[in-house]
Amino acid sequence: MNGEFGPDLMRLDSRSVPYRVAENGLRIVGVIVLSSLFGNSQGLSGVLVFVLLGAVAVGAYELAYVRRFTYKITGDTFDIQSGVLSRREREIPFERIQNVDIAQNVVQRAIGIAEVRIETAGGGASEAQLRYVSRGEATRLQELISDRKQEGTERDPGAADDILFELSDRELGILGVTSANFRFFGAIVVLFSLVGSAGAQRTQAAFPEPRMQLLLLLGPAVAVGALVLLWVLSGVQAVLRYYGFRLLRHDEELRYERGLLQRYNGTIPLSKVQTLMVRENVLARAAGYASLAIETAGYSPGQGSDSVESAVPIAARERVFELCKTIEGTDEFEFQRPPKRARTRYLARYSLIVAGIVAIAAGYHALSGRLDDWYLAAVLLVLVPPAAHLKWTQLGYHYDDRHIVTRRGFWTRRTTIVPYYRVQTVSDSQSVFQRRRDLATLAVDTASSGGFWGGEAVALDIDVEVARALREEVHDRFQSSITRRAELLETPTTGESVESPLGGESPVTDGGRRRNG
Amino acid sequence: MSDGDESRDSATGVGPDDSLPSDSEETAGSERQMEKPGGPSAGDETGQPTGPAVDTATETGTDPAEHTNDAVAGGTTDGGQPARGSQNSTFDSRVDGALQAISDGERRIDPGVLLEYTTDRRDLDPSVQYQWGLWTAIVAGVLTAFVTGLISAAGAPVVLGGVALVVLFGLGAGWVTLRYRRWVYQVREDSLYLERGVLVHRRTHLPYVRIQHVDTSRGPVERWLGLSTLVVYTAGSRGADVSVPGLKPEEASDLQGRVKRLAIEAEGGDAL
Repeated sequence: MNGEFGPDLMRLDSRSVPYRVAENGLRIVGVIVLSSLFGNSQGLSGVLVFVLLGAVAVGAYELAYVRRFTYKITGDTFDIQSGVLSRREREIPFERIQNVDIAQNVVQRAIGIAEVRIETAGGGASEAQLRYVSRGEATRLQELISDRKQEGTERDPGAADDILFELSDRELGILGVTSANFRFFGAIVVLFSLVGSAGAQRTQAAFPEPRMQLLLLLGPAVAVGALVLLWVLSGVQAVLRYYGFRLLRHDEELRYERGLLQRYNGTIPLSKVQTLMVRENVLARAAGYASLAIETAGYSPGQGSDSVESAVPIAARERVFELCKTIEGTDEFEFQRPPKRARTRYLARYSLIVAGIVAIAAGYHALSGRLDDWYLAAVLLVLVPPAAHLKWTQLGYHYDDRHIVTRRGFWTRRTTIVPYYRVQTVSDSQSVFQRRRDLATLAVDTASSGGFWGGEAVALDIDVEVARALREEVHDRFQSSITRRAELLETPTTGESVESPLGGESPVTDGGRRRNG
Repeated sequence: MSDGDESRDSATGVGPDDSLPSDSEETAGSERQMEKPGGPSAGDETGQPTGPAVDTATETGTDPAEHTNDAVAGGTTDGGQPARGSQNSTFDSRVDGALQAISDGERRIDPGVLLEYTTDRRDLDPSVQYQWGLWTAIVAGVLTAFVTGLISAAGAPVVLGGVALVVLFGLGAGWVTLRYRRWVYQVREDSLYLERGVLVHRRTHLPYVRIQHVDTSRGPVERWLGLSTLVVYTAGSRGADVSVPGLKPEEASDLQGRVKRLAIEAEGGDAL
């Protein structure tokens, strides 16, 4: 894609009018039908009139929307004019674009249209949503934006797509099996067993008949059934979402595509990568598999997790760390664990939780007179030491001359890799309980927007002296990495575009990008 | 027990400093002399005491002798503000180190700017305690009313509500005092450094390169008390805005100027 693009006004694909009408029309008609059903309806004809009026209004609006939506590509910005009643003109500088995503669901694939989303670091939602353009135009835009972003660096015109990762059927199967949310599972088990035991107490007193005994078995059975159903559903969802996943390297850019029904296709410029996060839940960890999330600053935290998942859904652990090496130039990690006294914190914390459960059971017993065996809840104390130990074993941190890496979580272990030059703030904190044990928590914040868990590397409960030293260390390394970056960026250009010509500065900041530079 | 607390306990006061000059230029000038490593020990005497009668506690720890000899704690301060120099006795050495880094080419900040704009560790204005105290009193009052309601509903003597009142307001007062005493900020050579927190002690580096914009804001209560808050925004994923409360308005705009200048000086691209 290297033709001349004049400042021609481009429009959305005309096929998007009927699709948009159908999409929004169905929603509006549904609302009308529902409201007429629940309200005092004026009869079928009244509803029909409303539906027709609504359909005409929607059709006119959508036609106007599509006709009034224009975009054009200028020298260094992507301009959009949109809006039916209130007009909006937006210019997005190419060098500030973080991600360009293409999404297509089944219907859109059949019609041949696609949605293009352009993300920058600012704002709360996607900065540009083209709904919809033709599939070919979507690809062209994606190519063109990545071309424009890299102007200024010497670009290898013959750069071929380099397949970094392709999801095999076997891995897809493993993904389906291991993509269960175990926190949720645990909650369900506890809930059902509580309900079951409470029900048992109650019914035993009242109905000692065999039929009731059968019903008692139903509680655990329903719990197991719900678990299996959830597991299957989340597995199917994961398989649909990641079917045909491929991660490509296209020059200084990563590209991924995935999805069976809803097809996604996105770009992640290597220069915009903020953090990497390796996730392994219990099952995947046991099987030696992990997933990798490549986080940029592009998506806002509130956005649907559907679009955020620009990640390798599952791969053998070695493979994942190899990818980390390619993308971010990481070395082997040798994790330091927090001191053993940190375990006493979790011991105390979990014991308190168990004490709370016992207290609740006792209170229930005192108030209702049921649940005679309330003190049996104290048996949970047996689980406390292993739980505390298991939590502790998964904690760790590692740092070398380019990255700080932290790890935490038993049910889902999250390893966050932060290059020093992505650090936003560094802080250490000490709660009252940590002060008693001379422990502290180090938090390294970045601008990445990887949902609730993303963005921040947290070294939990490390020695207070270590935490302080590490805070200064990370900060110092950050400052020198920034200085080196600025120097390298300033020499070729005049410093006006600091972020884009990353090819030239790779020798210092990371090893992974050196290959193409 | 953190060493921060120990230093607070051990260190006593610092001699009566200059009051805060109203003009930020003057402040900057006096700061330059104050922070010059190995500068004359009487450097801060040159600060012009022209400003309004500002509590000297806001400028604790600016005496250069403070950094070299904490044991010599001369004079008293009216606020009873202990100097926090001892924990930060490395200030001069850090400035030296930064200057060294500049000459080595590891830092690219102008040494003059560095000396002019950095500050020593500073406390908030004591009157911020009234600001926090007001909110704490409201919360404590509501809680007291609630607890008293519960007590009377349970049939216990309502006098117990008085006990709740004393306890809650005592806790609130303790929290406000501790919070004030914990708060320290410092304009360092490459980051804004903050220490704060009562239950959770937090120390944060906020590098200038990462700053997106800097605000000063004054709510109604702050205007009434003659206070101002500085808010520094980063692109971080959480805690993206960090505020320094309890500053005199002139102090806040001076701090804003310093941070702004250092952020411009730091030139770090789009700070992502």
